[in-house]
Amino acid sequence: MNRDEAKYILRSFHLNGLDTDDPQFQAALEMIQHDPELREWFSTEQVLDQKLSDAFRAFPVPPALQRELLAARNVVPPAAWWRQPVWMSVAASLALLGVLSVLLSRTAHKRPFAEFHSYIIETAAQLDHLDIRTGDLAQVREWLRAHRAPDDFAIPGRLHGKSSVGCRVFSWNEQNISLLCFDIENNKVAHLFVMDRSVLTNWPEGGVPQIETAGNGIATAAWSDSKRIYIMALEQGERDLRRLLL
Amino acid sequence: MDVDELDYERVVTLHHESLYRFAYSLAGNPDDAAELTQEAYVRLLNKSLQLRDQRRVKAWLCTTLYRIFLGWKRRENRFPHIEVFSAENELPPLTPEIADQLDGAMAMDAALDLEEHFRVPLVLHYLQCLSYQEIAEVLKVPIGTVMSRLSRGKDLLRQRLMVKKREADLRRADPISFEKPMCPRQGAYESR
Repeated sequence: MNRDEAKYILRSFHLNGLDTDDPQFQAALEMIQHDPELREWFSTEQVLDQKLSDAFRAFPVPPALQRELLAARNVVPPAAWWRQPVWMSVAASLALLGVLSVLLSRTAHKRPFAEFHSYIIETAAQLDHLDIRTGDLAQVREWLRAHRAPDDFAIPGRLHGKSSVGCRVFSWNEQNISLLCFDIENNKVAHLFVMDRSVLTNWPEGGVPQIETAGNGIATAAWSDSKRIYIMALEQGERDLRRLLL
Repeated sequence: MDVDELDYERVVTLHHESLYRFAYSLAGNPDDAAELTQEAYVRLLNKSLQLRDQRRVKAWLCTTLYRIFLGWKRRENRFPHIEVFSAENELPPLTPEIADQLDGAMAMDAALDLEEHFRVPLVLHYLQCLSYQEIAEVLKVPIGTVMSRLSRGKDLLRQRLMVKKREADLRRADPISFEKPMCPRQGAYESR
């Protein structure tokens, strides 16, 4: 993590220290201990933020509001019969059946791989940040698992040993996609997108990557295993993809 | 929520001010802000959950209020976006000394000039309602997006506050001419 990255993260730090246990903030806060310039910047930021917070929290509230809210309790009708626990259970069961039937019907309407591929090319061209930055792949997997994104992916051959930069979760067609970024040679970063293959049709069969370059210069390599679809994207990087994956 | 009287009273006492301020930052006027706050609390009364974790109640109220606001916005063109024109880049940066002169109304006024996607996480952050992870849950966006919006939003808010401060200073220095309606074609009239 460099100074700019630490500043970027620390600008979201909760004024009450609510986020102190978050690993991202811990790393940035640790950096403050060894970087006097960063420490001074953060100190000024905290002073400014506290003053702004005080200003927002001093915005006037109508004096009668609390009384009106408390009075509302007497005019809101008591819970109806259908809100009783037994009927709530019945309703929940019916709702669950409904959800299941929708889910089952949706499996019949899978999206073609080409659509997903286009989405990845567009996304890779606009990447601006990661949700978490870490070189520890175990931490990446743990974070992805906690955010219900694919975490049981296989790292392809020559990316083993490359340090990860971080990860991010995207949502497409109501499915979570994991993005992992790896440092490769020449200051380039390879973006590996991983998604459950069961929601796609016409995906590239097998583990041999299919490599191509899109009109916007984003080169992609796509392959699959028994559960996942993988797309690795690299700007102007067809040669790098061949070297890493073939 | 099975809200007994004591719990409800406590939840109102603890959170109604933050909720109202958040509502105001969305609606931009006191009537809609009060109505949004009322509606969120009415929904709380109608829910059948236990109020055990006070922090979850706060996040639940913020999320509910925001959803109500989005619903209003979809149904009616109730909150039109106001374009902002200013020479903000020419102003000096906000310093702690200048920030000392700010009040709640000026801060809220400046926040209301920002685009909603910057304003909502920023106000929740400054009201110290929620952590950045909880803000991500309210907005249904990844935490990285909350971070980038907070970072950019803070810059934009500080710029807007400097504009507001300059306007306030001008108003104090010359209240009469400041209140004159601005006419972009004034020069043309004068030359006739």
